[in-house]
Amino acid sequence: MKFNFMVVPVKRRHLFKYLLAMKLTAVIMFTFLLNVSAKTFSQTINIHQSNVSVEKILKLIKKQSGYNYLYEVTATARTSKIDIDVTNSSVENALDKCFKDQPLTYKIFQKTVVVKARDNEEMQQPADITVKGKITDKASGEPLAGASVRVKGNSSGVATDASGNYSITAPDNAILEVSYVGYLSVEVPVSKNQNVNIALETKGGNLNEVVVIGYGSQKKKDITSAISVVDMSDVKERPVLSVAESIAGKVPGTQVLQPSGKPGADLTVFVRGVASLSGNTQPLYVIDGVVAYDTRSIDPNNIESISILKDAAAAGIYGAAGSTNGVVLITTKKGSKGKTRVDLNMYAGDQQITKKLPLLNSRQLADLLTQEEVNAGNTVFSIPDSTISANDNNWQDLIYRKAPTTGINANFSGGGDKGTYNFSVGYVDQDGIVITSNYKRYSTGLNLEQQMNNWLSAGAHINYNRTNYADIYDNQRANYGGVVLSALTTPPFSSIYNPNGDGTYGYNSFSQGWPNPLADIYGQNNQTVANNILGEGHLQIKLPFHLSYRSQFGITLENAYNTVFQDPRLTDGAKSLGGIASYNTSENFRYIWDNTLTYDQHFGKHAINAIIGTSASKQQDQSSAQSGYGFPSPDIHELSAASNYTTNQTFQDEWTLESYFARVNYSYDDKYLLTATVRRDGSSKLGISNQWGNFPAFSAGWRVSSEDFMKSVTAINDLKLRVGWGATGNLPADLYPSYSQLSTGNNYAYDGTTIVSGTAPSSQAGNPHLRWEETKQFNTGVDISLFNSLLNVTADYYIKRTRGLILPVQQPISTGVSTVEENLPGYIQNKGFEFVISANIIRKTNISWTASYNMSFNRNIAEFPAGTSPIYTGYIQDIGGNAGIVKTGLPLGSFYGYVDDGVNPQTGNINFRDINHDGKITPDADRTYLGSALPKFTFGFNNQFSIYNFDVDVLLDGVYGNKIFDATRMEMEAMTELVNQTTAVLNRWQKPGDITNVPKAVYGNSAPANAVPNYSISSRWVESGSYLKARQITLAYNFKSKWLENLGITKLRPYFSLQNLFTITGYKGYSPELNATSNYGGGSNVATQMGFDHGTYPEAKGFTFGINATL
Amino acid sequence: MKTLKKYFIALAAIAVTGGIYSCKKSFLNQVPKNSLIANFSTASDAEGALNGAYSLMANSGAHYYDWDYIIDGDVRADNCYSGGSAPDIDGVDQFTSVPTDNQPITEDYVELYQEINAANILIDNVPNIKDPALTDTRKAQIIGEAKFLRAYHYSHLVRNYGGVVLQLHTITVDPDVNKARSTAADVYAQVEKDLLDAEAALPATFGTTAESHSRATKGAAEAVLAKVYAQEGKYQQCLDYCNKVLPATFGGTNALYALLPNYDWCFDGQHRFNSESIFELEHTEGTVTHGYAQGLILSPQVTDQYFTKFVVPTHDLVKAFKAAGDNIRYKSSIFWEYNGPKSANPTPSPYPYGANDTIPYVWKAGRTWPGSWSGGSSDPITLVRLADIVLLKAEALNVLGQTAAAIPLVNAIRARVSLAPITVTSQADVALAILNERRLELAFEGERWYDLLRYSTQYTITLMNSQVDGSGKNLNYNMDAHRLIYPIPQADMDNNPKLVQNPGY
Repeated sequence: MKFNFMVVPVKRRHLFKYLLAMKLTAVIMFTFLLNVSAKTFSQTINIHQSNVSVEKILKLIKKQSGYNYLYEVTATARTSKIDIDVTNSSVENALDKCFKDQPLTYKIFQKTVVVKARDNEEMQQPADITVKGKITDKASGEPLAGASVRVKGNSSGVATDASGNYSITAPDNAILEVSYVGYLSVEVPVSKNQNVNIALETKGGNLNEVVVIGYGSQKKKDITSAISVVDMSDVKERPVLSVAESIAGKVPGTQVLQPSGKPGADLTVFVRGVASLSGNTQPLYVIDGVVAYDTRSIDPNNIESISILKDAAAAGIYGAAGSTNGVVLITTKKGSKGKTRVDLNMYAGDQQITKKLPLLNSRQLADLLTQEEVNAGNTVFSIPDSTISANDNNWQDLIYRKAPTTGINANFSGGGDKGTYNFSVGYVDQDGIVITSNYKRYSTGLNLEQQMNNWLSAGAHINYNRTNYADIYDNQRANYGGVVLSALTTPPFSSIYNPNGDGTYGYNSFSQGWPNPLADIYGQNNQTVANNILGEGHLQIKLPFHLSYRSQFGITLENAYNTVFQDPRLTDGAKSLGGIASYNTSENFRYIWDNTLTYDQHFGKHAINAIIGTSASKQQDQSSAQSGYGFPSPDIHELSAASNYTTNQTFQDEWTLESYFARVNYSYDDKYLLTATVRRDGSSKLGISNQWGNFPAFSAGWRVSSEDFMKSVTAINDLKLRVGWGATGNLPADLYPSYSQLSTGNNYAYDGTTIVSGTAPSSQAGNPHLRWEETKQFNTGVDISLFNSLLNVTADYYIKRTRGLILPVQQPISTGVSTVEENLPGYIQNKGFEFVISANIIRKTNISWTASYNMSFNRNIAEFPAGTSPIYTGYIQDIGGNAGIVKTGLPLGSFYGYVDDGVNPQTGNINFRDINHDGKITPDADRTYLGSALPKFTFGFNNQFSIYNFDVDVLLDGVYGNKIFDATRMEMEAMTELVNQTTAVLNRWQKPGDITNVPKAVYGNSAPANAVPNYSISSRWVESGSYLKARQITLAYNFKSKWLENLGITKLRPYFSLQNLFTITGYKGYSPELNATSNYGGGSNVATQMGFDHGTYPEAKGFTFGINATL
Repeated sequence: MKTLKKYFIALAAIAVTGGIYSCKKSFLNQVPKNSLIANFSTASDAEGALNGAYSLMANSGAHYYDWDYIIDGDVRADNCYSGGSAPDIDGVDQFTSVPTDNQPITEDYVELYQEINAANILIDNVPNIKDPALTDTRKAQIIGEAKFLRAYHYSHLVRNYGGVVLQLHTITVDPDVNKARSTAADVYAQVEKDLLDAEAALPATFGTTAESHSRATKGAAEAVLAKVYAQEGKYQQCLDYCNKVLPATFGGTNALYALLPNYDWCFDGQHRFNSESIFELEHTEGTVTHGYAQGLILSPQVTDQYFTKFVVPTHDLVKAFKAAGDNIRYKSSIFWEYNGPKSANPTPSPYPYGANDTIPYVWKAGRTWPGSWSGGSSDPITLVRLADIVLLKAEALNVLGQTAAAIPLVNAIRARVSLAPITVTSQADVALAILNERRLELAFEGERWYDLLRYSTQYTITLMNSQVDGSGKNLNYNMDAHRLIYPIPQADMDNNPKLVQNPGY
């Protein structure tokens, strides 16, 4: 529209007054800031200048006319230098000449000239020119294929070809933005300059790198909170099945654990410790703006970038939805303008168990069992030689295998002037190291962006995958069907098949209830098929006044069914019932609708980016469970054929979250940076009277290096100090803690036969006052870039206190209910220091070495008011009660039990320590703190070498100072049951005088005279969990040849990668990362039950051979 | 004017977005879909919650009205040994229980309060129901049934634990969770009040014979009132209420109830809803409402479960049956079984292992045993039986000095099982005769301990300390007056700082 107030139609004048008032308000504020005032008055202008800036001319006109000037500084930023020659001219005439060919316009209000940028459509379009050039790596001079080149202000662009060449149509005097993954982005003006070659510098202290933040993006140099960006370059070099795997070892303040070695198993991620007792402890995942509570829908190959928001100032914009645990922001790959680009990654590999445990052979076990019985005073029994010599099975050899993995991922991207696309398909097939276990995933993703016109753009993105998962049972004792423990405890002389010759799998020779591991594995066919969809559609409207409006509607849908069939031909149990089948389904659907209004503007040295928004989301879950037994044929598994039904259930629930938020980023002169955020959330998960909560956050940064006094310090390229404080929230795990409920199924038959349905109070009563778990976090940090960005350091210190911890609190029995979910007094504190140092150690043309080392120290402590009863947790199935404790003054993940002071050489029993000094060992009272599963520090060391055409990538990581409760060893060294044991028990006490740390073998769980049995939960089973792991080592070769280029292959890169090549640890079990209890309860009890190894599926090591190619 | 257009679009979009959220107030109010929320509003909700209140007493997760009341009433007394290998039941039997961790003492306390809570939910909510499908009559009846149940549970609590916390509302209505204990008198006063309310609200019979026995009726309320008054020592009121329940044969005014001609019919599982049953719990085979615990009591061969069974008749009780020449009730109450070689070690202490070829087992409940552990017995359990009220009236008359009127009632009970009339005539002798008659008539029905307490606490202490095993050796119970009631479970002491423990614990 024209900048012409006088011809505004009458009916719109009212609105214009409003607009004008708004504008003038801004203008007046600006006047104040510039402290400009009119002093003298003159009506004619005389200027004779050449090659001067518009600003200079404006100043001259002002001086001569006495007119005051108001202008938006950014408006002049794109002006070019001009020549001007006016004599005795009017102000208007001088301005006209001055602004000719400039993207500016003006209006005079009495004695004030308001200068502003011309609206795009009325700007005189400079003639488009074609700009060509080559993009190269600054260090090596090698061309960069696939670099993105676009005109500033346009969303579309082109990509460089194989030789690094590009060609783009741009208005004269446009500015080109050039970016490439791993390199610093640059902006180059192209005025009259039709051949622009650009050498890009590799990332290091990449200050202009754009980082994805909540509801937007920000340049790294402007960030004032604790945000880490994950280097994703290695994801294409190894079979990475999950997002968490791609984060492991790389990010300070983020610990990634692989609690199970099952293919496709969920990983545990802790961002800055653990801060909840019963709620979620895992980070919130936001995938292309869609809040997701896991990443199952994502193939890591489709990920463009991952940012981890660690402190409250960064994560607070996500409020109560779980931001206390950090937020992992994921963006998927988008297309860019240019010809279609195809990236391929194909690989195949093999995996195997990292180690096997040394077990007793048949003869050694027979001796042990005889001794157990004798020591227990039972009738001496002897195992006949014929039994002992019948078999000598090492069951580990029978269940573990070399497990192949294959995968392929293809990515197609491109775009035209108005739209871009990215399409990907992938497939992975990974066998587990335990026979029959397998994970297959078929994935596809589509990402579309379209510029509809100059004010409207829209896009959509959808990820779909389907997984087929064949599972085996672990984390269970052998008598509960746990395969891993069964392989360890089943005696070597037990036979694979039952001796009766009916083809069913056999048992532990001494107990019909303890199937051998092959019976567990083959006895039940456990298959899960899941469909995951994550998608979003959005539209973005460009508004006047530097506003833009965006509306995004996203969904996540997970639909799964699980079938288990126990074949009557294979196990006794299934045989007796004629086959057992179960069929369970679940569907979790969530939508989230976000609407945001963004303001982005610069005034002189002031830059403001502000956003306000709303968000609403709703999750709906449905599940069903059916089971039955008695099938006419073992080949029919459908429940409709069963003769008896044992379960027939359906469930439904839903919950909602409604949010309002705002954020302002302000910077002055790129030196002083401020961010303020506020979010208001309401959720159905909370007490009716406390559904709403507010989450403010503030942070500030000071770029010391931009100060004048630092200009002379050339060694420092960048130095920024950051400080922030804010609040984040966490929701209860329970969906309806606010309501007292009456449970169904409490049926009755008044006449003894006709059942009428009834309801009875559930054991938990509602708490209408339940509120969020709220975390207040203080963070301060520094970013330093030294020696031409050769060395970069980011360090942060934080204190994070979580209050209002939600826990089901025991009620007086007389209330008739057992618990109410309440917000506990007291808090959990996580205090820590973390840093990452990255260095370009060698930076030669053909040889380079970049290294990044990160380290995180976190101290966790629970503080509750005096008199608060401890919570006992970490229940070890059948064999010893609770091994964990939550108690004031101790960290979460604490182990609790007796202290093993060695074996009494006279009795062969353990001398437990008399903790309370009452002269005797008192059950329970003599237990104490035995260490915590939380490490003192974690570290990661990531190296990338480039030697001519070879790349080498080495990722090491580790933890130090954590403890593991080795309940697997409890099974394997207790010597109280008629099961196999590890060779550690060969050192057992056998006669008075024996000096050893392994007590005597006694059958049964009886306590000796000291009242505490030898196998009790004690320091005997607590081990150091420290480790250093070679997570991945990759060697790759880059083919560089004209011949390939002529074939259209711009990149051909075979690679060989080793995963988990070695782990240096003192831990005696399979792997120090495993955790059984995190798998018991779907992750909700992770916080209080960490570091338990109890027959968990072992981790694998392996190699992969693959090829990356770009067409 | 494109800018304006955009501006309007934006304003509209923002307004729509904000508007949608704020208009839908229900967006944040999500209620459970798989269960009912406790403040229900329809007639069927109320009936369902009432069904659940009965179900809680009978389902397989409940123990108190399944067999723990027998532990309290018979094991604690001289009728049964604890049997089995459960130190906690031994603790009850041998008077060594401690407040911490005694399973039946803790679990029964928990369970009775859970059942009280189920009644409180009805009492709190049903008066507010506006559903026209719920008639005023039925509404009053439901509240009456709930009050009966609440009173019944409190009557069991107060006689076992003394004055307990009176929780008369759900905690959503009364959020004061840490309440002090009331006195026993206050608890009894509340029990009387609830039962009188129930008596007024409840019909004498419901639509079906079955419901007239399996639901709380006016007769049930009156019978329980009679029992409560007796336990309080209010024998005149006890007498009045016995007469409200008893048929004319026994000097009463109620034609609904009569003694069965055959004593065994009360327990054989084949005579549900009989005229002698005033209030009974129903079980159904193979569902959650089966009787579970009888498998723990019935003999190994009856149940095909070979472990050491619990709640085993004492030598003293066997002697008492034999001394009375009471063959009919003896055979209905006790089942002797040869412990064959199939059972590894099922002999309950103090029957010495290997010394007895045959062992006595309780034979009064759950005889219809399906032989499968998961199924449980479908036999009902009669909680209030007319014979109890007949003997209670005799007791009341005797205490009130009308000994001569009491004697025919005792003899009527004896006549049914072919026993000769009693010969004693003095008030003291008749009192003892009634006590003994009740022991034989009501063995394993959870009454003996409270009969003893009504008779004389000192007598109870002396009696228990004189108990001997099969070889005549004293069992050394060493009990004293503080053991007449249980301790308040430590779990509740820990939770509620206002609680004060019973003396001596």
